Amino acid sequence: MKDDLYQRAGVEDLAEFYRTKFVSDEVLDARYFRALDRFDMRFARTIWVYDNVRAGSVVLDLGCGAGMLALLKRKGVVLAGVDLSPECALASRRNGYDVGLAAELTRLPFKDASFDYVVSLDVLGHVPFEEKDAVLREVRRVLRPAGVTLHGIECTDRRAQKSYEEMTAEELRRFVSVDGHVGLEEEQEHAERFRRFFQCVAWEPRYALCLSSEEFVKQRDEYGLPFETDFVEYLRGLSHSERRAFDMAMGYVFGKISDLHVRLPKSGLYVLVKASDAPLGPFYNEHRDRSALFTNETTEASSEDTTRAFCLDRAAEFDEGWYEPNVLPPVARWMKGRGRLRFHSSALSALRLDLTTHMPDLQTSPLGLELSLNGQRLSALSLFRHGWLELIIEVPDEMANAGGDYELEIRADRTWQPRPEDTENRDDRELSISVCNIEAFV
Amino acid sequence: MAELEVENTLREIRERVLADAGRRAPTVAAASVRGMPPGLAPGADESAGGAGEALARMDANLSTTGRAWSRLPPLLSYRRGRAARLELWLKRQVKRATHWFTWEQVNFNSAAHHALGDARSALAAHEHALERLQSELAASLVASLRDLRAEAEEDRSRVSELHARLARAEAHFDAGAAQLRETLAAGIERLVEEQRALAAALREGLREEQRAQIHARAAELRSEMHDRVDGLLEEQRVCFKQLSLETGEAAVMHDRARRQIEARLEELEKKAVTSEK
Repeated sequence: MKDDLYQRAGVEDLAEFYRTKFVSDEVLDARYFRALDRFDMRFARTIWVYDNVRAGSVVLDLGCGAGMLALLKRKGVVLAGVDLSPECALASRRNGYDVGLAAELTRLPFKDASFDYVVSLDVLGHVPFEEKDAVLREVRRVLRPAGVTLHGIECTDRRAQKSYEEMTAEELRRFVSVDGHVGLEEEQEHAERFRRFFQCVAWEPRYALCLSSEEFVKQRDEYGLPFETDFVEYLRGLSHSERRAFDMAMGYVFGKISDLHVRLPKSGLYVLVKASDAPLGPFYNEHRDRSALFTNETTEASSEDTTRAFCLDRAAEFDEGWYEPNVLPPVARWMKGRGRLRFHSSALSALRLDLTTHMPDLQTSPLGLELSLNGQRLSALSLFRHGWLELIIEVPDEMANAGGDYELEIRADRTWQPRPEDTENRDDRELSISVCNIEAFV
Repeated sequence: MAELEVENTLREIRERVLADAGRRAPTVAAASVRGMPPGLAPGADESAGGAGEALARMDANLSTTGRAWSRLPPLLSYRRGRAARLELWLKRQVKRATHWFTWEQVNFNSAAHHALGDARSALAAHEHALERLQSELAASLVASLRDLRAEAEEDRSRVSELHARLARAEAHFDAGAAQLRETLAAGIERLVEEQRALAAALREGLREEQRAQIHARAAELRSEMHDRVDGLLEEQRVCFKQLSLETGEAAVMHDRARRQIEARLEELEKKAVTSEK
């Protein structure tokens, strides 16, 4: 059946197929996570897991992809990931997983009873029907006796969607090529399957109300879900910042539905499943402690440290003038026209940073930059060539005595949009410079 | 008097009937040959004689109607004596009583006579126009035929002249082609020689030029490579710097953790010592 469906859909190399679908340059490293992103619809499922996992436990991420559960490292868990694609396993390690292995989900390379939690997000819908039981059997094997398994699973609505047997070859090829879904079942069917392996199973249909703007468009375009045409067209026309605002609002509502334990109707889209042989705690927020999201371990020099400088890339608080980090390489943040970062240091003698830009007309029109510290102008320069520029700025004594709290502001005199008209891979962010390795010298 | 007029009228009618019968016989025969009704036979209308005869007949009829349209039959009686008088008296009474009808008949006769006269005039005018057009057409046909014959004669003479020129041109072309072949062969031979000489002369020069181009391209590639390596090294520097910073962070975190553990151990040791005491 597995070969049949994938082969009928024209997918020859599964690992390569999933590598192209799910490996990205996205920085999911927990050290780069901003507390505000807990409301982002993109992290909604991750936050559900985060709030259900005990701090300091051992967690296995099945089908880890690029490492969507890397945020769990903020809770001090030992995090292992398994994926069919070696590139995905590598990407998960890059994003902070303690272990990242390429393996079949039906033959997990771990001893029995190794994990407190076995988690998967968007995985079981990709597992063919005849392998699902084998996967759950492996989950049960590697799970400790009182361990809990948490899953976010894509579903189908048999009344609205054709079954695989009813699809023509072309329909099947198109359907599978979107995401690789070869094992979609209805919500209650997933729950029934878990009941065959675990004594306690709880499940909640989700995504009936809240979807990201990108998901609305995708579900409409690729799967033919009947969302209102004018609404989808409106979403399609949103800019990057508008889409982000929409996704934040959706993520906020998603979280509130969990907090209030509002039972949503079946939507045929997604189900959250929680199962264990031990009695289950609350479905949502069983181990909710988000304090670690607001504090990040910093290496700020203290009287007892011997370091002369500390890095602000992961320690400073970046405002809305910065986009999320990208792997260029290295890991760097793109700035809008103006960006601020706040940090604390007992002393400050100099700042050092690496910056670059991909602005196309740089040679004919240099990019003007101005740096200010606590509102006072620190330096101004013009970028007239591409490539990384190492910038070291001495901080005058009179500016350094600010009581330990600093705000570094960088202003660029213009921005550009990388691919505003690209229908396939649109990027209409307003970018100026990319910055990394920001060091504060004490 | 009256008897004389009646006789004249009857005679005219007889003559006209005889003339009609005599003319109609050949026309009917011609139409029958073509398998068409007599009135529709094209030959009947086309003959000028037919139209002339029709007009002559119309003239004869018009002379009759012109003479008799206002004439009324006389009051006659073949009786004698009192009976004749009585009959004539009665007829006069009847004539008087039907005077209105007689007057209408006279009016009709007048209108028919004059209408036929007008139609005859129009037909005569058309006949004359037709005759004139026929004569003009015949004249123009004759002239056209004469012109065509003249043109055909002229074309014949031109064709024979062209044949002669073509023969002359072919002979000239053959001679020219032979000459051109000879010239080309000589030219190619000369060019080959020149090319050989030129190639020999340029060989040395080209080597120098190519060498210069290759050097320039190599320098360009070196420069591009140098730029790319510089960019790569710069990127590598930034990445290494990032790794160094992360390693430094990890070292600091490790050191802090170590110190915390050591402090915790010392604390535990102190507690253990205290508890032992």
